[in-house]
Formats: sequence, structure tokens, C-alpha cells
Amino acid sequence: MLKKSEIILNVIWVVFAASVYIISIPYAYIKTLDPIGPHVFPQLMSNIILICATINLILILLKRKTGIQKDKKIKIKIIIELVLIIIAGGLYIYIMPWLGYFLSTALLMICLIEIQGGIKPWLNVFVSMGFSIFLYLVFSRILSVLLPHSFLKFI
Amino acid sequence: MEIIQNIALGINVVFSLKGILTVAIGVIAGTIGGAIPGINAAMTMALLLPFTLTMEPLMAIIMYCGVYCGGQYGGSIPAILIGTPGTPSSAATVMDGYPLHLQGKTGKALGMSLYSSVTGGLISAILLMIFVIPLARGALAFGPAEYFSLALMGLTLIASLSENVFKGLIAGALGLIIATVGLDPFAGKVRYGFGNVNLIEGFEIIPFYMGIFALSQVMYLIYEQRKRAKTEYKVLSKYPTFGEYKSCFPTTILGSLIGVFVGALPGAGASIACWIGYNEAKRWSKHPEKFGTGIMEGIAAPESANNGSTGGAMVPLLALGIPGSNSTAIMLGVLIIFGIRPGPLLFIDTPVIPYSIFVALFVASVLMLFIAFLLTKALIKIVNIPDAIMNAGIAALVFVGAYSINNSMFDIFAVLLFGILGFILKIYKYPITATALGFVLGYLVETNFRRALAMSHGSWLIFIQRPISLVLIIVAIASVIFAIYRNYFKKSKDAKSA
Repeated sequence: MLKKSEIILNVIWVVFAASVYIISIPYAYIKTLDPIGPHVFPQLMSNIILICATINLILILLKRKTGIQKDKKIKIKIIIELVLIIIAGGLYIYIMPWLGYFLSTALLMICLIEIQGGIKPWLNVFVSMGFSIFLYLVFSRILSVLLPHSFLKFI
Repeated sequence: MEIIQNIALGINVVFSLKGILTVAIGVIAGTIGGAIPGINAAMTMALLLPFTLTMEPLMAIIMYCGVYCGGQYGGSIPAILIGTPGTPSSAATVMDGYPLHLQGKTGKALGMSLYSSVTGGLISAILLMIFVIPLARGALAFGPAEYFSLALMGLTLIASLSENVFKGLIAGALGLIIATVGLDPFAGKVRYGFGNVNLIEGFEIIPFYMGIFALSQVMYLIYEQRKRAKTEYKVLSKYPTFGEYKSCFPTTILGSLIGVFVGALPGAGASIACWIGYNEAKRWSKHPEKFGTGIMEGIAAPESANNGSTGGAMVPLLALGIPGSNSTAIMLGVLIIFGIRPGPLLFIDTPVIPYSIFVALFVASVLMLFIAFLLTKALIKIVNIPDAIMNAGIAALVFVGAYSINNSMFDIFAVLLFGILGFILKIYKYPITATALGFVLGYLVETNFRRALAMSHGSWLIFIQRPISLVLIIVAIASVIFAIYRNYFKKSKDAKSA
């Protein structure tokens, strides 16, 4: 029994491979020292993906007599958790330059722990801030990495 | 004579206070990483990548040898104490380790696991040196066509060993395409940059590895909603006596040899070696019916195979520049970051590096003995950190680690992107090893492919006209055909006859 989402994933691979192939076409006009040019290798790889994804889709269709199963029900809670984690990661990229490393990382950890649940709020804040300070000390002071401070420049 | 001089070079590097401390730190980090279910040696290595940038190349490499050895052993601790392997390569240890713990013989189980891991590691370090040197000398005859065919064979072997060979090929090709982003090695033009200055040089290795190994694993653990049982450690029995170790010695040797040879196969790795070791030990045992009830041979075999695979996986990495596992793929990345390209020329240009690795693997195995004795109780406290805090901490470490490379927010974006990609590949059972290998070998594969065609003036026959290249291509094609036969035709034949 095969999952519906595998069909969608294989279609995505086909579209991706076709896109890579099409985008590579103009690279054929770049002059190089080798006889084949910069377009051949990516096009070869995209052909491999295209062929393998197509074969996977054909195999799925051949097994259709056993029925195409709907995906096993993943709890909505898990999907929401994962989406929120990705959003938290994305927001982190935007807020770090203006909020500074320490506060944005502490906020990120507070959010990630809260999303997963099971930890008391005071412990969450304590651990998040403590670990952020620890990482700051390790990277900024020991490894001499320049981390953004924003309005905490006095640190 | 030259070999002895080179071994002396390696001893000089490792047997300094700095060297011993570095290896010890690696073993501790690897053991902690391996002991936490869901985290493994490869993920630990990925998390430590940003720290290596400030280290000397040799120290970073020997630290990673320590992480590798410690990570392979660390997984046996929760395997024995809670029946959950810390790493996939410790899965076979659960079979007899957990029953022994339930019988109150925790010390015996943990001790045998440690002794056989150390033995496996020592044997693999010695065999690594014996096999890699002649293989590297043979590889001096390799030209661009052979290197391309070798990389192709490595990728197809990984693909064919995966659950679905087509998924494996997609994963490998995906890694190779990601590697083509950035400057073309021959034309100097940017491919797939879309006007973004951050993509001129392509994606950096560290964000790629941290995303695909570490962040994706965190997301996968949340997706699986795996709850770890609390690990408790009470030594109710003493560690094994010398007599007990001696009685398991033949099994330990067998497991070690299996580990070395299986570990040398690209894509096979410790997770397969441990089961082969366990099954072979059961087959050759005088009491096979006792396996699974809690006997020491049932721990000795998989654990020695587990750590035996560390040296084995280094053979193709050092001699040919083709990693044999996730962990050695990351080690290849570390070498590339420092501008070191493994392969036969490494033994001629900078022999101190491979010989330091031989010595470091040996020393790491010995240090594991002391570190495990001293630190098991402390390690278990770390293993019991709640999942939510562990996952959030790893995510924070991954993001700051990625930022630390170029002080660029783009690298954090890259980590997130590859984390999502790795997560999708994991849930649909695509082998991320193939993607990682494709990415790290992409430059080598493409440049050798195009150099070979430049040598032959555009004739593709060069790949089959050169005998070594022909053999490698035949092996690559045969592995794919065999995998298709095994996955589809044999299964449907078995289903029909059933």
C-alpha cells in the first residue's frame, strides 16, 4: 500500500528536474576550455532524477490494484509543531540583526521549547537564557566570532 | 622505513598534551552524542563543525577521530539501560544487552560492550593502516576517468543498499545538482545564482551538513514524537572478569573483522556491520539458542563490529577520497574546509595527516576505556535532559554555528533550507548519505568528468576504454541491477510463491 504523498513528492522531483534542465540550457552558450560546457553535468543529473521519479510513479500506478492509500493520519498537533518550528527559524533570521544575537536566540529557544511543550515556563526561560549566554560566551569570547549585539552593544 | 618514519610523525602529533586532550574531548563529545537516542556520531560531528574553524587542521581531524570512535560506542549505553539504541549501529546490542540489564547484570553488559568496542577499534586502526597504504599506492594510477567512475560507483553502491534504489539515485543526483550551484570550475561563470551574491561561491559545506544531519534530525525526532525513557544507572554487578572477556575474545575478533570489511563498503556502515556481526556470531556459536536471552557474546559481536567499522570506513576515504559512511562524509568535508583533498597524493604530499589519523584512532579506542569508566554516570545525567530542551538547544547551536562561518544570515537560511530538505528525505526514506556524498563529491565528480572528456576530445568512450574505469562502471551498473532485482523481481516472486 503506497502513500498519496509519495506520488506528490515524485511529481515535485519531475518538475524540479525539468526546471533544472531548462535553466541549464543557456549555459550551453558559455565558452569553456572543455568540450562539453557547464550545462551537461547538471542536465545529466536532472535526467537521472527525471527518469527515477518517473519509474517510481509508474511503479506506484502498477501497484494501483492494491489501492492507493491515504497517508496515515499524522496528528495535527505534530504538523502545527513542525510548521511553527520552521516559522520560528525563519523569523529568527529576520529579527537577529535588529534584536541582537542574545535576545533573538533566547526568544527562539523559548518558542521552540514552548511549541514542544512539557516544560514549566520559568524553567523554559531560565534554560533558554542560560544556554544563550553560554553559546554567546563560547562563540563570541572563546571563538572570537562577531555576533550582532544591536542595542546591547555595551556587553 | 618510510612507513615507520611516518608513524613516528603521527605519534609526535597525537602524543602531545594538546593532541591527547583533543582526542579525549572528541571521545567525550562523541560518547555523549552517541548515548542520546536520536543523536549519532554524524550529527555530533555536524554540530562541532563551527568549532573546527578555529582549530589547527590536524587537531580538528584527530578530534573527529575521537568523536567517531566515541559516537560508535556511546550508542550501547541506552541500548543496554533502556532497550533503545542511542545510534542505529547499536540496535543489535539491545538483543542481549537489555535482557542482561533486566537480569541485574548491568555492569557485565556495559563492561563487555566497552571492552569489545575498544578491541574492535584497536583492530580496525591496525587493519586500516595495513590496507590503506597499498590501496593508496594503487590509486596513484587513477586518472580523471577513474576518479569519476569511482565516485559514481560509491554513489550507486549507497543507492543500491538503500530501501529503494531509485530513491537512492534521486538522493545522490540531488546532492550533485546542489553542488553545481555557484562558479563553474572551467568557465568561471555562476550557475543557478539568480543574481544572489551569496550564491556566487555556492552553498557552504558547514550549513549544508548542519542542516541535513543535525536540524533535520531534530525535526524528525519531533515528527516521530519519540519519548525517551528515563535512563537509570545502578551498577548491581561488577564489570566482566578477564576470564569472561577471554571467553568472548574469538567472537570479538570475528565481529571486528566483519566491521572492518563491511565498513569499507560505501553506504554499508556500522548499522549493517553490527547485525552481520551478531548473526555470524550466533551462527558460529556453540549455543546459538542462547542469543537473545542475555549472553555476553551477543554484546561482544555487534559492539566490536560497530567500532571495527570506524577503521574500515576510513579506508576508501583516505586511499580514494570516497567516504564510506555519514561520519566519514563529514570528515571529508572537514578536510576540504582546510584545503586538504584525501586520496593517494595525501600519503605523498602530507603523510602526517593520514598517519596521525591511524594513531588517533588507536589512541581514541584506548581513551574510550578510561573515559567510559570515569564518566558513565555523568553521561547518563546528560542523556536524561528533556527532549524539548535538547531539541531547542541543538537548533540554537546549529543556527549560531552556521552564522559563525561568514557572519552571514544567508548561512542560517541555508541551514533551515537543508534542514527541511533532509527532514523530507528522512520521512520518505531517501538515503541522506547519498545526498551528502553527492554534495561533497560534486566538485570532484564534475571536474574529473569534464577533464576526462577534455583528454579524449569529447569522446565518452574514455570511461570504458580505460580498464579500471570500465571495472568500476560495471560494478556501479551491476549494483543497481542487482538492487532492482532484489527490490522488485525477487520480492514479487517470493510473494507469489507464498
